[in-house]
Amino acid sequence: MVRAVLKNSTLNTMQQTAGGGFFRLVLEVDGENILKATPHIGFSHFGIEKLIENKSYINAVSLLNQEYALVLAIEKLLKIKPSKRAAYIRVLLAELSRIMSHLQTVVSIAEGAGNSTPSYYGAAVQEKIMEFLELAGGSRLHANCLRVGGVYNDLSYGLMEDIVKWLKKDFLCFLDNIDEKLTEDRIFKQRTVGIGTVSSENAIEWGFSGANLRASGSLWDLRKAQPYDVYDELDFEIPIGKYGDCYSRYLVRMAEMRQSVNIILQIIEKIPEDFMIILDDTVATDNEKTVLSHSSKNIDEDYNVPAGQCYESTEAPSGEFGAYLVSDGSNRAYRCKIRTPSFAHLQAVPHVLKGNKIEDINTIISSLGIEAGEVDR
Amino acid sequence: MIDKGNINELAELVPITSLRNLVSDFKVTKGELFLNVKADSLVKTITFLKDDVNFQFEQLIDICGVDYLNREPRFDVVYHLLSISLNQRICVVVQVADKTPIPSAVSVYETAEWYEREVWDMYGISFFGNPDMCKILTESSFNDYPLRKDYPLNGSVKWSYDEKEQRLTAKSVDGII
Repeated sequence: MVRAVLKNSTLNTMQQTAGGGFFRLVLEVDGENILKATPHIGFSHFGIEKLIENKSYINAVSLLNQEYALVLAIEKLLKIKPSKRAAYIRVLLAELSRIMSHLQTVVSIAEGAGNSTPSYYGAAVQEKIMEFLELAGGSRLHANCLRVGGVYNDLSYGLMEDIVKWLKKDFLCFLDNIDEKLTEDRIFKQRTVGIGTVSSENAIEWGFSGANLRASGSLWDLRKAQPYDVYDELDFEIPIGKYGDCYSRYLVRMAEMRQSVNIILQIIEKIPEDFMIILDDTVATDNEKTVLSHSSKNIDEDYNVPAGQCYESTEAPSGEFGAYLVSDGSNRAYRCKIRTPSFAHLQAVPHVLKGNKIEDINTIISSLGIEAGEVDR
Repeated sequence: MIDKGNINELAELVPITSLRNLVSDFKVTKGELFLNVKADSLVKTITFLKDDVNFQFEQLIDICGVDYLNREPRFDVVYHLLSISLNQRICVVVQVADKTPIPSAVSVYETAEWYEREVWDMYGISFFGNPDMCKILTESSFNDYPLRKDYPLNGSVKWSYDEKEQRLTAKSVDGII
C-alpha cells in the first residue's frame, strides 16, 4: 500500500481588523493547526510622521487618545500645564473614548467567537459616546478636542449631567447585559478560554503593554505608574488577569470599562469651576493686530516650541502610546515619532498564533486590540 | 507597581558602573536620561541595561531614527527602553553616518526586529544581525527613504499614463531630483 505524503500548505489571507484596515497574514498550516504565521503590513500607511514634520503644531491632530501623547510632549517642551478644569475635561474625554475602544474590542472578540449579537448592541452604545464627543469637540470619531495648553472648548451646558445620567442608567445596564450574555456563556468560554495564551514573561519580552500586559498578570498601568494630567488625584483600581488568554483579555477590558465609569463619575464630582486657558489666545505674537486677524495669524503661524527633545507616553486603550518629539525651535516638529501599541502587538502575533487553530485567528487578533491603521500610521 | 523612580539617582549610577566604559556622554534633560554611545558598544550597553540589577530595562519601547541633514554623522538612532520593575525610562542614542550599518539589537530584545526594519525603510540605515532586513511599510517598488529631510513631501516621482506605451510611467519631478 502506498501512503500519500501530505505537505503542509501555505495560505495567503487578508485580515480585517475591528476598526477597519487590513493586513496580510501568510499562514503555514497542517490541517487546521497553524505552524507559522507571518504578518505583512503597510497597506494603510499614509506617512503621518512626514506630514507632522511639514505642518505646524496646531495642525497635527489625530484621534483623541492618540493625540494625547503628542499634546503632552509639546506641553513638556513648552513648559506649560493645562488648567485644572481643562485637565479634568481631557481625562473625562479620554476615558469616554477608552470605553468606546474597549467596547469595540469586546464585541469583536465575541464576533470572532461566533456571537455577533453584542456587536449590534455595542454599535448603538458607541454611537451614543460619539454623540457626546461630538458635543464636546465638534466631530464624531476624530474628536479634535485636545489643544496644547488645554482643550478646544469648555463642555457645553448640561453635557456632564447627560453623560452621568447615561452612564449610570443605560451604560452600566448594558455592561450587565453583556456580562450576562457573554461572560458566563458556555460557547463563548469554549472559544476563548485557553486560546492565544501569553505568559507573563513572554508578554514583557514581546513588548506587550496596556490591557494585554495586564491580562497576562503584570501589574502595570501608566495612569498609575507615571500619572499624567490629573490621574494622580483620581481613585481607581487596575484589573489584572491571570492566564493571558483571550478570555482574560476580554475580562480585563470589561473590568476596565467599569473603572472608566468610576473615573468619570469622580471627575464630575471633583471638576473645579475655574477658567480655562487655551494657548492660542494667550501667546500673543503681535499686539498691533486686531483680534480677528490675530487669531487667524496664530493659526497660520502657530507658536514656536523651544528646541529640545522629549518622549511622552500615555495609556491609550490598546497600550502604551508614545510620542518622541524633537524640536529645533521653529513652529514645526523637526521629528515626531509616533509609537503605537498595535505595532508591538502585531509583531508578537506569530508567536501567539503558533499552535492555535485557523478558526481562532479572528478571536486572537481582535482580543489583542490590533488596529491596522494604528500599526501602519 | 512602585512609584516612578528618580532619574537623577539613575544618572548617578552611570559613571560608577561598567557603563562608564561604554557610554561616551550622558545628560538628564526634562526628567529624561539620554545616553550617547558609539555604534560598536551599543549591544554591550543595552545588554548591560537589560541584565543589571540596578537598571532592569526589560522592554524595548521604540527605535526611532532622526535625520540631521547638515550634521556629520548625519543620523541619530534613538532606543527607548522601559523598566517595568523599577518604573524607569532611558534613551540610548547612537550617531550614524550615511550608508554605515550598525549592529542590530535583536539578540538582546526580540521586538527590535520590526522597529529596525522601519528605520531601514524610512531612513536607509541598515542593521547587521537582523534576521529579516527588508522593507516593512512602503511598497517594494518604492526606492526612496521617505523620512529623510531631503525627500520632498509630495514624493520624488510623478505617475502618469503614457499613451504611446499604453502603461503607467514614473517621471522624476523637475527641480527636486
